[in-house]
Amino acid sequence: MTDSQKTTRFQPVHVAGIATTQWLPEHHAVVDELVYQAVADALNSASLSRHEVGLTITSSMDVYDGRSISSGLTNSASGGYLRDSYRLESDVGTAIIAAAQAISAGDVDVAVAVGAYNPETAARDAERRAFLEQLSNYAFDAHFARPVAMTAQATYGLHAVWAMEKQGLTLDQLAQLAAREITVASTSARSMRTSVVGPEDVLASPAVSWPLTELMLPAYSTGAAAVVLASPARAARANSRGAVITGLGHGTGSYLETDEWLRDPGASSARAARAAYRGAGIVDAAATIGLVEFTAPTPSLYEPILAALGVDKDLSPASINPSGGAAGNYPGLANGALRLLEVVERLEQGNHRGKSAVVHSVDTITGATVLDSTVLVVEGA
Amino acid sequence: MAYQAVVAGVGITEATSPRKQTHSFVELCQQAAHAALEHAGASPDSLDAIVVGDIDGFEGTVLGAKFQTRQLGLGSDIPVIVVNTGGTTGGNLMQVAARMVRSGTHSRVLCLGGPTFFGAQDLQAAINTNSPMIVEQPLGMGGFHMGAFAASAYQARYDIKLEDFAAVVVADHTKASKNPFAHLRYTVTIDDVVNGTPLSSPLTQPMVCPVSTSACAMLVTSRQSAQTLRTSPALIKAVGTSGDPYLGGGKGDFAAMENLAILARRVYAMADIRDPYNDFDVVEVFAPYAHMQPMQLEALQLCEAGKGIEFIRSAESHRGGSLPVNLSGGPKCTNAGVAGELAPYIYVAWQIMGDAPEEIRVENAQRGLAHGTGGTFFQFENLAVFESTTESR
Repeated sequence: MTDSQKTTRFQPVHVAGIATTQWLPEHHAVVDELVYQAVADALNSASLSRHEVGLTITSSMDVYDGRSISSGLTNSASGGYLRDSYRLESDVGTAIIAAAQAISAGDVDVAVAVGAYNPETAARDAERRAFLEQLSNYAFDAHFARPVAMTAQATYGLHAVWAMEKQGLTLDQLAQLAAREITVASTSARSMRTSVVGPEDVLASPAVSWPLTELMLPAYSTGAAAVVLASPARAARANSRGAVITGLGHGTGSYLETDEWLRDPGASSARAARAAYRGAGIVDAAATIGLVEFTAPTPSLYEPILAALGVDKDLSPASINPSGGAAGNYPGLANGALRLLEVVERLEQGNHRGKSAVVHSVDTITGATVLDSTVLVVEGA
Repeated sequence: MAYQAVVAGVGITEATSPRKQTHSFVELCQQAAHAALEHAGASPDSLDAIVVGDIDGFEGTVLGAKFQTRQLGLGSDIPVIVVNTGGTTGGNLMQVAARMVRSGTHSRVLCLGGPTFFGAQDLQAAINTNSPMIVEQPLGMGGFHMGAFAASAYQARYDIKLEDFAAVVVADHTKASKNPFAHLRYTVTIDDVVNGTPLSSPLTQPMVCPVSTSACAMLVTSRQSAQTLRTSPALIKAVGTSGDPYLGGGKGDFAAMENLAILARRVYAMADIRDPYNDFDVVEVFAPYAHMQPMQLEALQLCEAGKGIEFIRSAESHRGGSLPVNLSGGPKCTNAGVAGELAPYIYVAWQIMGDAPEEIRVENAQRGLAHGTGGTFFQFENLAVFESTTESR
């Protein structure tokens, strides 16, 4: 089916409730506790009960949860007891999309998407980061990439080097961009980085994967986030949030099968954006989008991914990652819901009246090579 | 606007044991995917997305879909949705795909189930890792140990003998012997089963599924999109899943499948099924252990409580009977993990499309029921009702 043959407008779905747990470097809680807390709070905020939920979709990964089939543990906590439910292994953005599709399809009136990220390990600090890199390595193929120690951070470093050599990006530019994002994030209530930093601080932070330093990478946190979606009619009878999802798209990168991840790392985001805009009936994204909350795991990926979303590059700083994005808080698989929350709050404040917003998230377990990307078009209700 | 979703193509590979398998995981997936596209008459570049099942820890890798889907000859930029719900993964693939199509965001979605158990050296040890950590894991419990709970309870409730369970196995093997895609294609006797190696009382080895390698794929499309394809698609009339609590104690009655019965009522209502036995022309249930099939048929209202084995013994459940059940031989004779869980959906859709292998075909099947289950104590269930579109095309 070619793009031109699919002109169907997506049936809008209302954001009824969103809630998150506290964001911490590590939660001393098992994953089902986090899932339960986020879902219960999200339902309560919308004045909805578990019994009204038609479908729950959990986003988590066994490899983080430290057990096989961790969805068995979290299913009831997510509201899935005697209900339609399943689990996706990617960023919660994919679960939000699946929940929205179920409502748009007419199958259910209320659906829940919940993302949980709290890797099970007793290790701390550098040892913990090394453990997470080991998990990332497992997500690469066993014959070629895994033996040469490919990890998320290794791919980030490789891409940054490629961008410096092939595109003229400089180390100073990387540092300046990281410093700018962290400085914006430092005033955000949900930021894990609360201090203003300069480029020199970024360059002086611990080296991770040349040329990247710790402050050039996302501000990792743990926790869970739940989004309750509802049909517009049902949302009208709930204590719903002031936002509607009018378009959605999903793209998956080429892995190492091509050089796309180096040459055009925004490609999966661009594909997701095209699908989302088509569903939302957006012809000119640059003229329509007034607020963007997107996820760039490194400064070298910032411009390619932002460009992929097709928004106006001259938007004010207050309209592009006003939260500081992943540089302020990146809660792993729960990221897509956090990014949505940041947008919904700003739409409710009325600062972007008449404009649509874009929410973008990625799954980063394989770093820059797959960048499983989701794009939501959100409008104020 | 919402749309109807149909199954427009299915693909399945021949099955064998991991030891005898000469194709790799990816090769089997390639074969299944392209067989499904070939069946439908669809080209790879017409796909909008692929929904894949992984069960991390049971496979020789984790999150394999991230890279394996790039080696299938379907293009390297197709969006991938990775489902992992353990034993219900395969049965949930179509549930995910159907909603993608029904919402109108996708027109053609390929569901792919691979040979999950290919890399496992000790499958029961792998299954042990998803059981509760405090009691069951240290006891070394695997799949059939947990399955035996229900077998014992069912025996006690209805005075079931070993020979009765053996009759289920005999029926499954008889059916599988005619299915060119089954793994165990030999027939067995009651004595063979009763005198088989004891595994976990009352289950003997012949009462438990084999470890198979094969792959399955299914093309789910909008009804409109299917009009340009060459098959008579099977309408996905109703789908649903239902979950019990994680711990086995939360199941309540081990001698009855209450969760499945609740799900069946919900799905039947969606599909306007009021007389299940007469409304369905063909049924495939996921019953890897001998006691499960009769219990499932009872929960699905296809026979009275305690009468499941009697029904399976009767000619009515065989080809040519009034309600053929598991003509594929079911997972008792072929269980390749995610592929095995997707298989009931594949076989029923295939029957409704009128294209099932001649040896097991139910002529003029108009409506069918597919079932899947999984979990440490089989707490999770899924169902789908398929209907023929032939009359209305």
